Amino acid sequence: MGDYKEILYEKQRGDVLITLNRPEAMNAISRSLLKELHLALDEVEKDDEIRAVVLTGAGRAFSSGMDQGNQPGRRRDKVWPYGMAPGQSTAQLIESWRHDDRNFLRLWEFGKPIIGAINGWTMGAGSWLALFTHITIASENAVFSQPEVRHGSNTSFMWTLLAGFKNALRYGLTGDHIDAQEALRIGLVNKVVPPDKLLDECFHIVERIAHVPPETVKINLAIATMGLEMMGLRDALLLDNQLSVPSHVMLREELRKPLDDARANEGIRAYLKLRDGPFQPEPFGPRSKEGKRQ
Amino acid sequence: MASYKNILYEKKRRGVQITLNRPHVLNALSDELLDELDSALEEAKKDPEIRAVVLTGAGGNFSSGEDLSADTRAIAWPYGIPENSSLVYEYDKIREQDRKSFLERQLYRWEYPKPIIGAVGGWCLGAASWLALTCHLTFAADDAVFGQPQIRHASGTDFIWVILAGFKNALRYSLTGDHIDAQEALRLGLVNQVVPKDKLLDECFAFVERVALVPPETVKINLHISRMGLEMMGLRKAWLLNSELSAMARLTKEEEFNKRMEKARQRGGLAAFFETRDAPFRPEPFGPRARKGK
Repeated sequence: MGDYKEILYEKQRGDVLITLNRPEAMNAISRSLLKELHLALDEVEKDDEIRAVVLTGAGRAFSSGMDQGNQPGRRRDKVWPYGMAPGQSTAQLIESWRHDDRNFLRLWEFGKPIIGAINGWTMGAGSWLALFTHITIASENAVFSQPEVRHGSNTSFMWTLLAGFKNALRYGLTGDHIDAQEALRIGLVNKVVPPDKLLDECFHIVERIAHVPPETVKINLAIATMGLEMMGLRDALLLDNQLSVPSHVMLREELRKPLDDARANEGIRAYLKLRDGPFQPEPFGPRSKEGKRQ
Repeated sequence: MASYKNILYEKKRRGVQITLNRPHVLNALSDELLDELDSALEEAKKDPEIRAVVLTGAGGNFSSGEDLSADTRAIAWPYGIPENSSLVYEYDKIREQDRKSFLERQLYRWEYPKPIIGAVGGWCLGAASWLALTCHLTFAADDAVFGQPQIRHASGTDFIWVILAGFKNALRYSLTGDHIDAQEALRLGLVNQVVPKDKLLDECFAFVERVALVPPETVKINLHISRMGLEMMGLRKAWLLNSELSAMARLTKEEEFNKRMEKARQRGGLAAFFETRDAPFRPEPFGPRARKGK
């Protein structure tokens, strides 16, 4: 069994519970965390006793998204109006964002069901990770959003695949928060359960899956996942990946500079307040009008 | 009949000859010229007497490619974008331009319901090679030279090269911008036939007259079987991705590679720019700049 630092790997009856375990950073997805997640999946692949994976997050978030401090090309000492770091060329900047990220597609193509147990904040790439799981159960306190689009970043085609064109655009263009019920309505999740029932519900599904022969489960997974790939999902994700380059390098001075300055001079909270303030109240979740009343 | 400034439109022998007519600049493809080409094709589409289009260039050359004379802005190094501009502005502009001036027009010609026959003599470079190769048939004069020298100063290739010449041949020439003569073009599959220069148009119209013997509806369907088949196999998606990657390629100017050329352009105009860019590649493997050619 692997020696993990940023995740927990707990084998139970018939399944394994993988917990993203960086609660101090709301389980932000660092490169090292992603690597460990893949090592854990390697382990699951080899272990015949494991019939399914339950994926969740430690603490008050499923995941806050990509670790902002851990990205290539993300330098904050920019020269304006160019919107690039000193000494950087467009060639280097574009190349640094062109990392071909098949990391999440592996979850999609995995031969055993991966069940997302979505608790609390599920933002940005954290929402993508949640959506790439095969079956997704949300706690009542789950909040999905892609606030990073507000400072220059891309959405994922998985939102369009699951929520449909109009719903995906409604939230992908604004980064607006949605709560578990809205996520259920638009098709991002299978079911919403109380927080203390979240893992039970997931294990309950695993137990039912475990009654079906593993080879049959694998084939039926493939019929759904590969069918959508044949219909063009893989191509869409490929284009998605390339479009993430312009979305990250195209920075407007009047929108980005105040954010970078706030972050450099006053820290992350000031940065988030400046970025998200104009969007509040959110339509759903704890930052909505209703949420504040609670 | 519309009046054109940058092209000639001459009906003859069951078809129409459309001539790119800016011989003083080797028929460089300005936006205005491309607009007129679209209008002329629209006119020919509606004219039932016209069974096919022959597309050629005035003054013995097909075309030198994209008109680079419009943008004379100095570049800021190491950023590699025009002084006092910004990456967000340049990137967005280039992506829009590529889609509107290039991809949409290319798809319009590709989907054209009557055969378009490229009649290529002399220089056929860069974007003009894409224009010539995207024609449904392409006939070359024995002095034709194809090449994509623009990739030497940061620009993309076009997937049509891969479709026609195959993977290895396309890469051989698109990674270097090396010149290809008519015989090599024939060997690679870029052209249908090589004919003596003074017979080029005659040969093309002989073909038009043969097409005119077949019912127009049958010709249309048979065009579509080839074209739509390639689209079903993913050509349209490849072009969509191509367009995004071209925008990236155009932005990847690096001090180490591009500064010399840009300096030459500031001092001595486009001629000096081209000389600085192409000299290290001589002799070319084929054509008038090859050892044999000299």
